[in-house]
Amino acid sequence: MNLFLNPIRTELLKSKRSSALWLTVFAGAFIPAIQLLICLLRPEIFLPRIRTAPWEKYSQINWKQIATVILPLFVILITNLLVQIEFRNNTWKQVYATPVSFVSIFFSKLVVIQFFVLLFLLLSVVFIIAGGLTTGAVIPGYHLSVADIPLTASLKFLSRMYISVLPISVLQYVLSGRYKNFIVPVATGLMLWVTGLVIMEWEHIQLYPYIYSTLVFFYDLKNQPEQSGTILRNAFLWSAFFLTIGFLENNYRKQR
Amino acid sequence: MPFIVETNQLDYFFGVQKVLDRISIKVPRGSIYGFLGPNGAGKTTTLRLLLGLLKENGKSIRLFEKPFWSARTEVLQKTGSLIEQPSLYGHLTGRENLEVFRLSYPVSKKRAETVLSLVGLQDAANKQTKNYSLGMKQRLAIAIALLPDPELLILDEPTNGLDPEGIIETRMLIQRLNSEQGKTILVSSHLLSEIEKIATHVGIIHQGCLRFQGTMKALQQQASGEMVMELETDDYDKAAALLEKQFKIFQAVDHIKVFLKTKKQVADVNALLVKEEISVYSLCRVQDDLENLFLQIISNHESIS
Repeated sequence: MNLFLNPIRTELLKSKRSSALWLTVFAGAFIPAIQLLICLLRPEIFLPRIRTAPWEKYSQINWKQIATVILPLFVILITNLLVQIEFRNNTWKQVYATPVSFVSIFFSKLVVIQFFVLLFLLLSVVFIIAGGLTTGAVIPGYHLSVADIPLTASLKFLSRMYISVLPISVLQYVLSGRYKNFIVPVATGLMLWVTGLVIMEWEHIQLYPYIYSTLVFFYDLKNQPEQSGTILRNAFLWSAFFLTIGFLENNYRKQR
Repeated sequence: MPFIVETNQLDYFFGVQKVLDRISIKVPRGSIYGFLGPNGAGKTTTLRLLLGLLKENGKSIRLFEKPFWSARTEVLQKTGSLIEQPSLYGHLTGRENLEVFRLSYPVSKKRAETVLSLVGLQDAANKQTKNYSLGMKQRLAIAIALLPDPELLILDEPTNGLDPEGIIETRMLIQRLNSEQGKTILVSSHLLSEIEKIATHVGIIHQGCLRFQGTMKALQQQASGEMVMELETDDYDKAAALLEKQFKIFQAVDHIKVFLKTKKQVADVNALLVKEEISVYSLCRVQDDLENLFLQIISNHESIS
């Protein structure tokens, strides 16, 4: 068990005092904080929108921005940040000179990246709830402090969001580990994400992984579970594909 | 004699450029093996290959009498290393850096404290390593290499950037680890004077080729048989081109060292230069035979066995 857990503990320790946790907390709070302000400052716009189903509507207006913008950007940045720790400190050679298998080295860092992605999603839920309760307390007309908080639905949605960005985190991980210059993976990630926004009307958009979080959000909004299911299946397939390529590249690399 | 590190006709290319040519180093168990060579000779490349940081065809490298790639984790469990600059996480403290690598071996927390005191960094252990001096970073890197209480230590220029006191401390530490704990230490350097003080065995590499390998005693015995003359003249390039046809030479900016075997050759050198109308300002014998032997070995592309 230690052979598996120790590399993960090591990777978590490396993130201490780095910007990883700050980025995760800030990114998780960003949209809920803005949305809280907007709801407080412009009740005449938002009261009619969310009165009928307060928490459902309030969550949607938050998740729309998170799913389409913040989540993919966060995944690109956090992946690169955690991998760059090794390049910046010139520590890859020491890591590969330890008696840890290439499999453990490869997967331990990827697991810690998933931890931060999940943490971000959880914090987003927490901050949305906090924002909603604050909004409801300040302006009772929103009914947010009296309506039931859909925790189960939020957690289910959270898991779908996580799966939808899995291919992004895997590909970004592979690119970040391959290129010492952080501009390459970050610019590639941004370019792929922007391209997804541009080609949203493409009839085969379900094949394009960098837009999956946006698609899942809108399919859920329109109550299209089959479409959502297709996206999540494709997300798993893309993740498996990128993981295989990345692992083989890492394993057979000639220089470390 | 069992060799703890052995390479067999090891070649290596960076692209199309051959950087190592049939390197066959043999490091005896229990020795301090000084791996000597000028900058760019191939020392670090060789050490990186030994640790699997560069991949070769899988057949040329044996550590602990096992092929490296089929026993990688097993041999690395018994090996500590320091390659090029210290690999430390600047945002973590000294103790946290040790903890990162402690978990990789894994060894007890007590061991981490032991190596900290061995290198004298207990007082600075809770400082972030980005605030360490170069000497402190080097010492912490050595501590990390000592974490698994390794049988083999591979140190790439461990005294780089250290002040004289730091150099002496590192040298004494290496000697203690070898004499008291029986560790085999493979240490690379471009400074003969440092290797001369501690090594029991020497390997000299130049332009990717192993020019000499043997005990320090054998190297010193070689040195005592040579006569080295230092020549000052008015045209070093012309003199070097003339002399290297018949003698081993080493051309510096302001002199040429000529390696001779007999006194008669001294007269031959002088006559040759005068005949070609090259002025001889000075031709005198110099001391420090071992350094001159080292220069002789790395000049004129000749190997000495």
